[in-house]
Amino acid sequence: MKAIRIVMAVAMLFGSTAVFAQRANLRLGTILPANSIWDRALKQMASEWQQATGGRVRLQVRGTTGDESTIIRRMRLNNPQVASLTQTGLAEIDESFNVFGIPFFFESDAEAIHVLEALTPQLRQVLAEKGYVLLNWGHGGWAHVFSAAEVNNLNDLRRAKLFTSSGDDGMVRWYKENGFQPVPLALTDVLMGLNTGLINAYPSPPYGALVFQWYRQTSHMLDIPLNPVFGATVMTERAWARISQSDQTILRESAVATQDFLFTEVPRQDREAISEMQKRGLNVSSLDEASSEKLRREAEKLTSTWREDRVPSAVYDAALRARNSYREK
Amino acid sequence: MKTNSASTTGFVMILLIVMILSGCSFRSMAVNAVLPTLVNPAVYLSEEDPEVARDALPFLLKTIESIIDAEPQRQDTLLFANTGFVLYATAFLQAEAQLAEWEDYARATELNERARQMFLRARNYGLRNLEIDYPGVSERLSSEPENAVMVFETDDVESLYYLGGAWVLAISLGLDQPALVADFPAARALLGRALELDEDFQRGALHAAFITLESVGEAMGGSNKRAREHFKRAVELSEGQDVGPYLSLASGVAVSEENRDEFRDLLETALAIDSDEHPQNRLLNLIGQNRARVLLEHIDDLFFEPLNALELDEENRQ
Repeated sequence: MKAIRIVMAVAMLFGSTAVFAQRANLRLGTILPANSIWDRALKQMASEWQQATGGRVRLQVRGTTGDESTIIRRMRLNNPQVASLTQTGLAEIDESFNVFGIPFFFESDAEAIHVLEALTPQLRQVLAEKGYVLLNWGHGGWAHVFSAAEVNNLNDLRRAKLFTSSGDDGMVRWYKENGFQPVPLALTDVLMGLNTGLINAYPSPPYGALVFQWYRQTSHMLDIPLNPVFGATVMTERAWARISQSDQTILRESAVATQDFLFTEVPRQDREAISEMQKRGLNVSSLDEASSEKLRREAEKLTSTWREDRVPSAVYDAALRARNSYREK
Repeated sequence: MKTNSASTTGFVMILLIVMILSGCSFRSMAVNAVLPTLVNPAVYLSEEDPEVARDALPFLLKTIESIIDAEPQRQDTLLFANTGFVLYATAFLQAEAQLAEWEDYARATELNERARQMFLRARNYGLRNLEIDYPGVSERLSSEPENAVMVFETDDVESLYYLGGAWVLAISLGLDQPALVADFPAARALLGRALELDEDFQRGALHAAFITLESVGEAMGGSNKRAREHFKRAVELSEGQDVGPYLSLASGVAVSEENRDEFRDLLETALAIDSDEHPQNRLLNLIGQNRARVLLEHIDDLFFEPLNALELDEENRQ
């Protein structure tokens, strides 16, 4: 009888540990604004996680107006356990993610997605080495050059006072070495910079230029995409390990569905943003094929220094191979 | 008797002919008699049982829409439709969505979508109202908002407040819709002009609106410092008896600044307000206090633990 009691006690102990191991109350940190397409997609994903795991995994999406550095610092302490980061935040974890910021490196969404898929195993590994699990990729649209005066080539751009994110000294150096006039500013100071004439050009996805109202000071947009703005949702390995394998599968499937949604809807949102800005006075300049090709060739020469300087050579080379193989198809 | 009856019938016939000839109608006579009583927002705003207001408003709003249908140029009904739909969507749909979002995201999404549609309906009535006095103003608001609002005068403040409010609220629930987002400067300019013309309108209601407008983040031109200045003035003008300013500063500024203590203090102050003290704002105070209670219940979801406390925990763990 005593032996049975001991066996039951042991079983209960293991049983409760198993249940404990499978329950997770998680928080997701992000700087993406409430009620935006990204916030809604994440909240929808959180709702699916809870329903599909029968409440074993609960995720509270918590937007913040703070910066991504603080979110990343907090994640190292496992609170929040999940984050949806922009390219800037990802590059802070590892500069491999700068690969998607190479100016004029990609020509189209399809080409960029092909490279993203080719690089995913490598980038997943990069994140794993830093203690993060990649759940999905996010899409922030394509950065374009917006400017007060028309920009049709790199020399036009060199004449502009160009916003660049403060804190990225490597980018400022690269701009200066190539004859551009970068003005490093915090994102929160861009509107002030445009109003005071401190800057008169900036790279931004169309939706960003609209929602921040920056386009009202810059009536030109070059219709040659500069670079895709990819982000990612990541979870700390510490939190991931406490979730059962079957629930991990559910979470991944839902995260991929969220990725699919964003990769369709965000480009649509950008197209609508351009159309609305055009109604309110934005001029969109297109280049003919020869001028566009000339711009890309010139840019490629300048950005070849990103290899090793800003992007680890293994990642840069893999991206170049994947991109060229896509173009050869 | 027969003679009397015949003369009465004759009188009514003559009256009818006169009314028809003068373009008048029984319906508009009835409307003119009843309307001032119907379109009295104070009756709703002072209601002590929110459910009564919730059940009564839809019928009234549909009645008002019937009147607008018959008389599309009536400005009092257009303004009331603007006000009434904003009130219903804010006090009931959006408030319920804010409660639902913690547990039932699908329900919250559905309610927010209904609220957004209703704010747009309110905005459209508001624009129609202004178009009567200022033809072409809708178009100018969209293309050159800051200049367009300069034509408005002090008498327009109420219209500007409810139109700007409806528009801002619709945008806040539709950030994924570029066509809506593009008009944010118009909505902001309307409220800005109203504030310029009559800063103590409705005991600081415009300052209260600007607490929210200024807490959108600096990247969008907001400023927590200015939000605090509007808060101070809104509290002064309402003699600290409106829940709105406390709720707006807590959920807009205290949360973004990660100031948990201030958040708690503001909401506790809001909860201590006696809603019977100022009956003209009783309904919104009661609804705001409900939201304050829910926010306090979820305080741990809204604030991360301070970084230094986490770092200390981590050191102890190791």
